[in-house]
Amino acid sequence: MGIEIILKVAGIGILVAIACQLLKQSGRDDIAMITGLAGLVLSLMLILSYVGSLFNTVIQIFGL
Amino acid sequence: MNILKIIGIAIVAVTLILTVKAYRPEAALQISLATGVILLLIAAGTISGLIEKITAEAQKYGIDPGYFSVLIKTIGIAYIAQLGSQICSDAGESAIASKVDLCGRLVILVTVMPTVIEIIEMVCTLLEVNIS
Repeated sequence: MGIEIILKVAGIGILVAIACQLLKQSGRDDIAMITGLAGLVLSLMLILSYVGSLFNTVIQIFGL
Repeated sequence: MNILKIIGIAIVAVTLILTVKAYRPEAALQISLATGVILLLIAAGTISGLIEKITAEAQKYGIDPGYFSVLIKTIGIAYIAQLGSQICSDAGESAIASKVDLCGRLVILVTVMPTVIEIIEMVCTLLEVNIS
């Protein structure tokens, strides 16, 4: 658990930033936007399981 | 739950967020969300142990577990509502954050309502006995 997921999400963010800059420099703005969206969806999918586990834990602890 | 581990995670995450924020603000929000979830998951183990101990003590002193569970549920709803509301306000959407806050308060009110009605009825019964 712990730091790995944070580093993965941050790595995706940095890679997407670099890729978007490169694509904008070479004039392909549309692919840059699609790359940004793809990175966003990917990081959301990574986080989703952790958010689900957090909600289940909270429901279990507090008896909601 | 090691406090140094938590501080370390928080500092690393804040550094990464500041690095990414200038280029892709939405990715910075993802990092912030992931960090919040991880820290809450680390805290959840400790919170669970604390709540079990407090519930056992309350039962020993005769406090009705039904009333006590309402109190615990309120704390849980407040935690989650605050998480959602602060993620929204970090993204700059303070209007949505205040709506999430409002919904959290409404859910707490709905959860507490039966207990409040019982208290009011109990007070009315006591007053009737006193007056007559």
